Amino acid sequence: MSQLPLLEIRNLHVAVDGKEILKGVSLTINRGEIHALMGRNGSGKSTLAATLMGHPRYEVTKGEVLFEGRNLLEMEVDERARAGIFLAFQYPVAIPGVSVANFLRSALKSLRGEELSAREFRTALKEEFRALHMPDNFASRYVNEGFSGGEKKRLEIVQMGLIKPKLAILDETDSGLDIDGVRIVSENVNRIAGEETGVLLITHYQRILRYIRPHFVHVMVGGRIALSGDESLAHELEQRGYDWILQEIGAEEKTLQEVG
Amino acid sequence: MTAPQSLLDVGTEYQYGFRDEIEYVYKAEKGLNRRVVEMISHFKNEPDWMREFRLRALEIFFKKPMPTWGNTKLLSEINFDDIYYYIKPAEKQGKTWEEVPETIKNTFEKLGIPEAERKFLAGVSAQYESEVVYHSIREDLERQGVIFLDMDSGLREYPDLVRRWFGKVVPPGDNKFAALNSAVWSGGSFIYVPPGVHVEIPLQAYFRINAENMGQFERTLIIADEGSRVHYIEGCTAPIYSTDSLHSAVVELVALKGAHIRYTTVQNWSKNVYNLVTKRAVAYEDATVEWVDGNLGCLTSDTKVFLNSNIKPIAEVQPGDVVYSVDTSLQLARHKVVAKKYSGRQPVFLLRTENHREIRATANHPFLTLTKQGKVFSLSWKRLDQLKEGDWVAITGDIPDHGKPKCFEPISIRGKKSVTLPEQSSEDLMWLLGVYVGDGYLDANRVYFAVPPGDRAYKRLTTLFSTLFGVDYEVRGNVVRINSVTLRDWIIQQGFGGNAHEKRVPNWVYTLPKAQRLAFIEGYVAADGYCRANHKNTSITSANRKLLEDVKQLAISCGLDPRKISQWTRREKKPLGKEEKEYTHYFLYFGEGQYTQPVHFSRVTGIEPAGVEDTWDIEIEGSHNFVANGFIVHNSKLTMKYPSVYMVGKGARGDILSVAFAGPGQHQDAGAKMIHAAPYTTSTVISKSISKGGGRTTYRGLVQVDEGAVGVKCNVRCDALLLDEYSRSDTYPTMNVKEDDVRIEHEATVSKVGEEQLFYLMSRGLSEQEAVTMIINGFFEPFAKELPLEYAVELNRLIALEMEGSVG
Repeated sequence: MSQLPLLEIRNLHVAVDGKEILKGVSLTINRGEIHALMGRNGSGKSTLAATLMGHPRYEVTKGEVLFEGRNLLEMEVDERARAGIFLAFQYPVAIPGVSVANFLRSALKSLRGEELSAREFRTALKEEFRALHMPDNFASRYVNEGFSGGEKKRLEIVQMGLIKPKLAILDETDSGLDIDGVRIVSENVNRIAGEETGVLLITHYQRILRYIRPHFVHVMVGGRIALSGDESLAHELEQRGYDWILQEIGAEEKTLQEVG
Repeated sequence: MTAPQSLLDVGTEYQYGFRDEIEYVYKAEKGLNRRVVEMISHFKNEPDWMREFRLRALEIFFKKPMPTWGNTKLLSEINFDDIYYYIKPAEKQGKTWEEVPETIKNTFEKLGIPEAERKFLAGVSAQYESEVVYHSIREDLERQGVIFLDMDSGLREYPDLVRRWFGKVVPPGDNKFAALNSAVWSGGSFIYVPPGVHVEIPLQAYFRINAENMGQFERTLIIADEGSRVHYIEGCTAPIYSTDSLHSAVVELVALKGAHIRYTTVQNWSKNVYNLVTKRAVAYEDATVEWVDGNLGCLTSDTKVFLNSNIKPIAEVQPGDVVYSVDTSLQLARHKVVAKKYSGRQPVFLLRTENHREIRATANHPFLTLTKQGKVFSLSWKRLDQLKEGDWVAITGDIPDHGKPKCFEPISIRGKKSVTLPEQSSEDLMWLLGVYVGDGYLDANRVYFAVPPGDRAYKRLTTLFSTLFGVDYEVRGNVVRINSVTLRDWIIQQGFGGNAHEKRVPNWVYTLPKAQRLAFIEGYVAADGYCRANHKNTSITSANRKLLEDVKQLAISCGLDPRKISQWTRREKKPLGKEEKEYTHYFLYFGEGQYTQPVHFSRVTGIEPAGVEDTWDIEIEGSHNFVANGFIVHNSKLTMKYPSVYMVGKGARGDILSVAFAGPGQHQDAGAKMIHAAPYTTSTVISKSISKGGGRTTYRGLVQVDEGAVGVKCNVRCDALLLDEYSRSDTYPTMNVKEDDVRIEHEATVSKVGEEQLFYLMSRGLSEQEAVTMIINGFFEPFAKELPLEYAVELNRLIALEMEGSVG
């Protein structure tokens, strides 16, 4: 079991409303590894995140995804969650009338297959709120209703802390957060992830990578991972932007064509 | 009119008919007349004024037209003569739980009443059918002078108080159903709260309907004297039962100066109830009345049918089409389809009868059923999931003939050969086409019949070639051939093209006069049918199962008795080098007889799950039942509830909070009426509704401001949540305002359960059903917040039940 990679994506093609967005993504994430996925708007980063979680609108047209050796694509959204995948949403939705506490207690019950005692749950929830610098009264507020952008993002990490997933996909968790927010969220991601959790960190900006230091950095262009490297690649992107990659790919494709 | 009978005789006569589960002490005859009303009054030992009140109300009931507010079409369906107006379940009323009869206790036990209530609540008043049998009140309430009795006892013990208010808020002349209730009322609650007394804990009564065809006409009167305060909870949990039940209650609330009444209903009527309740409150100066009204499972149009009628697939039925329907004398009549709706994809079951009729329908779909109680047979509607093997269900026999010959459109003539094309269908033509379906085939230019000389059909067939079409034919071995490309085209034009595996019975054949339909079957039997030795019964054989299914439905429409379609597979060894091949044939057997009565009954031989299908329902004008696959099935029912508050004193206040849940095929018609009859009165209406699986909710509201009622404020808010694209919600607000100095606000929102919300919740491990349920609970939260804890829990449980199996 432990020999198998945590997540293995092979030549993944995904279409939305008949339009192909991902055009052959391959990526392997092992336990404890932090992968940053960068790229311009519309390059397919969020599509990859939503596809891995199983959003019904994203249609896999080709390729496969294995999670701990199991075929992920055959699993329902909730099965994926139970298998250990967590997605921190870029735009968490509001659920009017449903309190955060009620929602999270039900979620934990489904994920663990057993109910936590009220006391255990309250203690755990309080701890996470404290860690994310959120007041306790968020427990009785309705899920994401009337939350600021930053509060929504913090609540996502509160959830990650309670759920303790095997694979955390963070979809632009840094956007909408101020500088302190980025730091607090990052510290907590590091704490929760620890040595075992695999992390796929989707971001536009290098700033969060100062706190969450990736083992690998990938750049997505036009629905493919165009370039992979280590942390230094992120610095390079910060300085030079994305254009040079496009040129490099262009050159590569040209070379390929000549050879072919 | 029947001959007069001694009252006591009537009592004993009915006493023993129903002793299986509950011993009824007295059960009135079905139907309504002066005698029944007098008997009710007599058995209750009522004062003369009440008997007079009842009889006056009865006269009003007979004279009064049906209400024009609400779903008036469905109202006309109620058969007032087919209902019991009074049943008294046990000799006396129990004072403690232990004294309550065992059978009744068990029923309450099942509903979970005593445990939940005793601890927390003041009085428990449980109504089992017409009479309150269990009623206790906490002592401190008694000390405070609070009266909490069933209505019958209230009348006995506090006649003056009752007489002063009874029928004053809702007079018998108010509407037909109020008149009906006034004539035959039985049970209900009577509450009086003395001036200044605050009843801290909610008082409540459970109501329940159990006997078939029994009306429930409870009458509740609550009087809150000056400055007092009371919360009354009416919990209604009706079990599933098989025939239509009429629930027509009257609730009168009187909030005197500065008093506060809250009246909460959590209602879970089963699907067959006509629920027509008149709830009205009068709020005097500075008094407040709140109605909190939850309607779950209180359903109007029951069914979610999958009908695979080949006569016309239900998916193709359109409003305006005419279907066959059964009337009370078991005759088939023609009725119009008034509506059709898609009911979503649902699990369906295959129901099969002894004579091999088959239908697929959802578990809650009602079938006309013959049941035997003692020596008496009676007809009732039973849901598919209540049917078991051996039950008798109604099937059609001899269906009246309303067919018309088909007129054919001319087609263009090709080729040189002359041919006459028939202008309209005839028995001869249909016989020939029947033979064609069995033995005929086409190529690019010609028509062939595999009917050799010597075949029993040969002579008639060849004669018809010339009489019908004026064409010659050639015999080629075992085949006769007509060289007419125009005739070939014409056969295709009429829907008979395709090879042996593709042929079907075209739709227009079902619309022909019976004689022509029979001729068609006869022709088909002449080609493909035979009688096996030792078998009396005819059978038809074909490699095309669908064609045989068509023929089966056609035969049913002719009053024939087609039976099972069985399959027979033959393997044939081929010479070397060729693969073994399988040939599959199907046989359709016919019973000997032909039906002569329009409706017959056949025993259920099997009910099995048949997957998940798109389901449809149609609504039939007049009768509400229709023929599907030779079965007689039912459609819809009705709920109408519009609690109202009459604000008659300066500064009075009315609040109505109502929630409704409409499941597949249901129509919840609910709303509120606010009458501002005094200045500076305020009201709010919050209506929340959820529709799923093609369900429909309607808010019908009235806000009235009388002349002189200045400074009135009114806020109406309707929120609807639709769980899928097939469901709908409508709002019909009516404003009748005779003053300028008023502020009236009306807001309506319709939202849908978003894919994104579901995805979000499911990504945290909740199943789709749990996620939908959570979203719905959230939607109802403002309502649930207003309920005592155990009702909030019950509400959640009901929502979960409603949602069960509704997803995926």
